[in-house]
Amino acid sequence: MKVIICEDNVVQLEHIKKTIENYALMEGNGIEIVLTTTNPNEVIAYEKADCYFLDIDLNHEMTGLMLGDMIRKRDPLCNIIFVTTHAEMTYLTFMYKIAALDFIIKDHTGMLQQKVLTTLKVAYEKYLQIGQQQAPSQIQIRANGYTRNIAIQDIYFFAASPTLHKIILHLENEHIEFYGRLKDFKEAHVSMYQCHKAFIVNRQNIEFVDHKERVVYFKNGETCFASARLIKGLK
Amino acid sequence: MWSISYLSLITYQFLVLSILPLYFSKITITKNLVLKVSLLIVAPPVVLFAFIGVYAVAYVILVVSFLIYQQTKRWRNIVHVLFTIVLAVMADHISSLVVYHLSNGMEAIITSPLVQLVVSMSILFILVIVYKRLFSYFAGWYMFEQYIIPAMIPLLLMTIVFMYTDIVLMDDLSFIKSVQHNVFFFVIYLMLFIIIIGFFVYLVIKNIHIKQKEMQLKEFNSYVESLEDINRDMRKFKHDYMNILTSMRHFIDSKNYSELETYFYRHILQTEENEQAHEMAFSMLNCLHIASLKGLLTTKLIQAQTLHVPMHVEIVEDIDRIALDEIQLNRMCGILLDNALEASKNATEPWIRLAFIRMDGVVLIACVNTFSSNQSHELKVHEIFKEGFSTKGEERGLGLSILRQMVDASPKLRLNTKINGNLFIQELFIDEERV
Repeated sequence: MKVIICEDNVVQLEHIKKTIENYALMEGNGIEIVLTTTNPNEVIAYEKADCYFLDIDLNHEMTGLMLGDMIRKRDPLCNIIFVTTHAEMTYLTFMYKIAALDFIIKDHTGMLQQKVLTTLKVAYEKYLQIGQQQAPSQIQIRANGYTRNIAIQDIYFFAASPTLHKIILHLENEHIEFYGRLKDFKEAHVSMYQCHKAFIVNRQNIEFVDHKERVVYFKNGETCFASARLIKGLK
Repeated sequence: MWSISYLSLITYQFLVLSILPLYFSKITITKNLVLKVSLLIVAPPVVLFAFIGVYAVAYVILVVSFLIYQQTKRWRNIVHVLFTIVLAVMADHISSLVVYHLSNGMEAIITSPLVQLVVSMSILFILVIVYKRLFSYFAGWYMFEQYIIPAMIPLLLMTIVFMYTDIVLMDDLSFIKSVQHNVFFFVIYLMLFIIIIGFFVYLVIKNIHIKQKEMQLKEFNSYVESLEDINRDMRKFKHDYMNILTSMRHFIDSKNYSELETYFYRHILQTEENEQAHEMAFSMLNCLHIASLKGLLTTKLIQAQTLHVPMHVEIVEDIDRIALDEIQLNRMCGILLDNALEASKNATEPWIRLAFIRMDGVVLIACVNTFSSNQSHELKVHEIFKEGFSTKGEERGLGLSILRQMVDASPKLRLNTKINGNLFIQELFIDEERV
């Protein structure tokens, strides 16, 4: 696994570098630092690595966020870890925009070394998994600024919005809204069943069906309607 | 006169009067409900009609209104009851006229209840469709619900009283003449009604704009105040800086490094962290260039401070435009934050994080907060959006269902909601205008 460290403080840079190098030497598992720099342009110029440690405030016209964004656009699979002070921490922004793996807070010097190592291990685990597993049955949800793969068994039901082309996907304890047509998900998996003009349910997560009132009850207590004609398929 | 057909005509009318409002209020009509309606609402007035005539309508209005309120818990839906009556009377009158003119004065056709029934049903059908369309068109308008409907209710009540006095006073001898008369009056009345409503809307909009301006000014003032606070803090810090350095000098002079270390970590770093967090919360707002939203966030930040809820706002990139009506945007952010504050203030470890994130073609407003989890019942996402849901009992918890409605009404908004342990996560995506 190739590692790049970009940090404007030379002492910190050296510190992180040492920590990782010592660890790699001990384990001998192919973790290798290919670049340490204070200049973000060098990171961009470098071809490609698998794991990045980036300072957020780089003392450069390019911030850590911009750098991370560029790296992420180039390589959706790499691990990006941000090193930051407590006050600069903008957790959500980095999570949503760059899908950062983790954050290392450098205010507490004593914990820095340990945190670098635990994060590095997580990154290494993820690195090993890339290309290894293809989850068998997943549905991909795409919308502006949002992409997610969802396992079939997590899906409760899809509900269409009456007038606009929006669908709300209901999971156990989560609602995800995206653009699309309901009929595209009808054939997504054998356990999907359209029980109403506006609903496609996952049979795996149905608790029971009230045929008299035509209501489908799910395992999490949620309900949806079924039409008189289509409810027959839900035996 | 009490023939079967006449009776069925009355039954039909009362049935229409009770079922249509339920339909408009989007109550799903189940067997149980139909039974309730026919026993409670349709049967008594049919009997009552024999004794007190048209006044039986009053009974229908009361009971249907009550039923709708019971089912939906929104008194605003009463407007549907009143409108249904107006529509039904209109349909009735128009059908009388239509039948009269088409039948060339043939007595048999005019007095036949069946013909009357069919014609008035079809006219009513058209009116209902028009009404439903118009209503759902206006319902997307956010002031409609709050201001216009409450104003409509007394006006409609007056209309109905007017219509019925007209009907009661109707001259039986020249039936068709008086019907013509009535329709004429109704049309004039309707026009007046529309003019009054239009004028009212105009006033309301004006009023809202004035209020909005006042709000902005107030929020801007609080923003300025908090900037002054920060400025004061800075000055204090600069002043303290010297003191801190001299206090450290004491340790260094005596070469007491271990104590210096504890002093440094315990006292100096700690205070600095606290102050920085406070400053950061406000300084992040610098990247936000929407004045009214900035004001709102300032107000909420101050509110969070008084409630002792740490609140972080993340705006890393410049946000100068969000492709959404500013009032609507503020309202949505207000709901998100009010809800977060309400939920988080009782949590064991309260905090709120709000982020404005610009991504490809979309602005994401993410709001994450902790909430106090109830051991006996695990909170589910679908319960939250139910109208009237609140951990605090009645008349609250409207916020999130309003948010959901606003998102549903707009093609460029998407809202994801998630509960993860004791974290409540809301992601509001606002699509940028496609050029």
